[in-house]
Amino acid sequence: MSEFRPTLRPALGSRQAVASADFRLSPLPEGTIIHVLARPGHEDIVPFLGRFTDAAPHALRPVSPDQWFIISDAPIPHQEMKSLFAALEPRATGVDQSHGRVRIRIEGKMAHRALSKGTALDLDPSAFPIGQSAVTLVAHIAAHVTRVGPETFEIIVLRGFAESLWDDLARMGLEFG
Amino acid sequence: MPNVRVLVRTTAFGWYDGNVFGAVERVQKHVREPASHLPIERLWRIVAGKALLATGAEERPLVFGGNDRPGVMMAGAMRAYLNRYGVAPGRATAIFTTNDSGYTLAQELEAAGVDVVAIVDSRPAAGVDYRGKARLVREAVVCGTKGGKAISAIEVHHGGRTEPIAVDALAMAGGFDPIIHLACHRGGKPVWSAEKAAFLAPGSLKGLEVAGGAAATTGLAACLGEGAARAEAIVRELGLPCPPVAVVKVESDEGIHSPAPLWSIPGIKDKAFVDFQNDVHSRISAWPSGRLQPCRACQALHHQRHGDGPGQAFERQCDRVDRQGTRRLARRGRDDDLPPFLHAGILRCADRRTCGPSFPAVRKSPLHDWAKKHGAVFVETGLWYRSSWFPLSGERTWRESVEREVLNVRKNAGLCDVSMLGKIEIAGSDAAEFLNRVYCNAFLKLPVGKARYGLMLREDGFIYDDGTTSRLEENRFFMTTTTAYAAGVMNHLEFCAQVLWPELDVRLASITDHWAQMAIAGPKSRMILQKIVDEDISDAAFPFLAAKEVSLFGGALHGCLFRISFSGELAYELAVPAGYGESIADALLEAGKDHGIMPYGVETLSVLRIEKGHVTHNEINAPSCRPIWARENGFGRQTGFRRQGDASAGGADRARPAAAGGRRAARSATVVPQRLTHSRQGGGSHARKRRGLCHLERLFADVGSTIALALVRNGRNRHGEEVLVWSGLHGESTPARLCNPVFFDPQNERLHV
Repeated sequence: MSEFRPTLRPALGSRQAVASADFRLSPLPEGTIIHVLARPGHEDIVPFLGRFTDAAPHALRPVSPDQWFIISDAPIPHQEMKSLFAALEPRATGVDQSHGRVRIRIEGKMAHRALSKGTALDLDPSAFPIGQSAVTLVAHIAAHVTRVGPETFEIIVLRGFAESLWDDLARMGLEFG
Repeated sequence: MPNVRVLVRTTAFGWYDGNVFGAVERVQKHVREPASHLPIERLWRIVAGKALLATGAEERPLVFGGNDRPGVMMAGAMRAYLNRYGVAPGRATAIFTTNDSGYTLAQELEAAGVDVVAIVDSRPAAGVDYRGKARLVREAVVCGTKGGKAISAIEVHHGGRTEPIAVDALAMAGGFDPIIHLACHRGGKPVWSAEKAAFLAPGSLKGLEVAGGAAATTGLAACLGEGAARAEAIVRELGLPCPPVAVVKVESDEGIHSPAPLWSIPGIKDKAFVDFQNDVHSRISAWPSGRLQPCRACQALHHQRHGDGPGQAFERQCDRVDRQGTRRLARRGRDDDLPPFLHAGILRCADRRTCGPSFPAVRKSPLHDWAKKHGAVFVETGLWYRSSWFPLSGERTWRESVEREVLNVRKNAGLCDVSMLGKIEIAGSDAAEFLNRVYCNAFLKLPVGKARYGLMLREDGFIYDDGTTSRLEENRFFMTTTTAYAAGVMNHLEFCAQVLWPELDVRLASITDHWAQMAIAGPKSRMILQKIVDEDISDAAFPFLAAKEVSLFGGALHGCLFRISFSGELAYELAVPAGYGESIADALLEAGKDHGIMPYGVETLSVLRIEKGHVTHNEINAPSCRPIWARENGFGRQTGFRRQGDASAGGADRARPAAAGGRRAARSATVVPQRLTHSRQGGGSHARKRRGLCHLERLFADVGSTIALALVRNGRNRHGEEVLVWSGLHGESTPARLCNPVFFDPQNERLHV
């Protein structure tokens, strides 16, 4: 079956984007998400990791102490991924999470109001400025939230929960549509 | 101000630690036909740096006989009727007061042309100079009312006698209680102020200040001014700019009320209501000792606060009486106020059946839709939906489907979604040593490219979880866990890595969702897989328990292939990136079409496991089964004796007798030759001495009857013995025969083909 070409089924392929003036919800491309775990003693590697992000804004996001996500809209070929992992060693370990996590963008004037319904994070720009990331619960679902613009957030969620979280967010934004 | 949000129709119902307030916004509670895009109520969790409590004061009713008769109302209510709606309360009105606010009402009534028949003042002298037409009765109380469905007269007790006065409306002005419940929600007790004749908020409130009527300040201008000043100070304390607050001019403001608490009223004959809303009144003869009838509404509120029984609600009622004024209470203080202040709807804290499909969250396998299009019947497993079996047309019961699936796996091949098993990547130069410690069996020398079954123990030595772990690279392992304990194992490993052995170089990442994993089991599984796997997977090149990364479809995709089996058949598990899961599963069904491949579900998976004598989840999860299972499956040494006292997790308690298989029970399977669904033998059999425990029962497809796994004393030496299996659930007894729990291929020949 060498002629067979596997096809990608996006996790949110069955969901329609929500697009109203003050609240918009859209799935982001299932490109690349690399989970980087620093080796003990090599915690201060953010400048080093910056080499792997193509200088894209918000491409390197803290996850937890000594752990980051490297984000890219485009998928990385298998061999290139292997090379990247090799380049990270021995200072850090890379784990491919490109299919394990799904990115959702929530934006608009009322995006923070809608998101606040599900998370205890203080989303005021003074407490959660652009570029800030946090792992939180949105309703009952663990999520990684990053503010990428004044009125724009990106949420990274486990693939298995993506549809459920999407439905929750869409419902949270109903009144702003 | 753009950064200020005003929440209307909202009540803060509780003050909690961390200066957190709970509030309910009644978004559409008042709307006849609610809009579907809005909630009926909304729960707010407000985390405040500083808060100002300006809840005002509520008027205190007076407790006298017949105070619930129509025509009797609070003085504040009468003023609202008069001033806000232009409604006269009656033609001959009386006012019963304990403070100066009653005189303000009298002046307003007279100014509006309403006759005030009498002002009954409990004090010897008023604080204001009243010059109206009403008769003043000082040092007097209203002890009762007369009338049918409306008040016709009041009984005024003064100078040792009772005098009837004809009225058609009565206002009661009992003074004001500051509304300080929130200020007392964190343990502080209200403090009695003799000067204010009221309970005030506790003195030291961190992060919360009280102003206006809630602080017993009287006069509208004074309250507004105090609130504004406190708010301004708080804003400045927070380091925020504060624009000047406009001073509001108040016309005809009231002054000090000069309240005098009225502790008890003599001569009461009828019911004297303490709580009108909740229908609570004092008993005629017992007042003021306060024997009350607990009411249903108060009980409900009280239960929400405490989760206790109806009897205790009575105490809260006594408290309400006390607030009306027994001297005893002024001395000892009021009981604690506890949140919530009002009924906070417990928002749909039920399940999917009542709240729709989105609550709680649903976790879907990457092969969920693939299974769905093949007609899977799903079963909820935690938040996952697992495909349970795949009925074909004509199959009427699950047993028919499962039997067909089992036999097909034994004869041809089957494909099962196992994506929901937990998967953890373990990397680092000490990863092997780490695994060697968290599992009770050895992992240190596991070769690269090999998988091994591992048993994980808890701190107390009992089995916690199991699964296969593969060494894909020298310092990179791929661990699988059970579905149920995936998150728990991850937490356990993090604890081990961060707390128990921080000296080890090991890093952990949950990769459960990254992979779509499918089991391909059956004698034809290799032929099918070889069509999509680029590498040679013959028995020589890829033997039992081999594990490695593989290329698929001529390098179009890469995945991980494991030659592991829980069915007793030649079997593999293939993991591919989740987004490609459905496509690969389709491709495998297409590749195996001529070989008779069929999807199968977790019911069949369980039957296959039991037939082969593998551990089942029931056994792993039942503490009584774990040590016995471990011993019977060759792990007795590891769980009981090996490496006692070493640094391994669970090592300290491994010597416990149960873990060492100290009980003489052994796991046996019982073959049930005939299921006696109409048997009535159960009546007496349970009285016989119990000699074992049956804990799992499944259809045994190859034999064509039911099998069960049982813990039987000295079971290994009793194979062939006839026993009686009693089911209390079904009320039946079934004859059975003890036998070896491994029904299928005990020599493992089919695994190594």
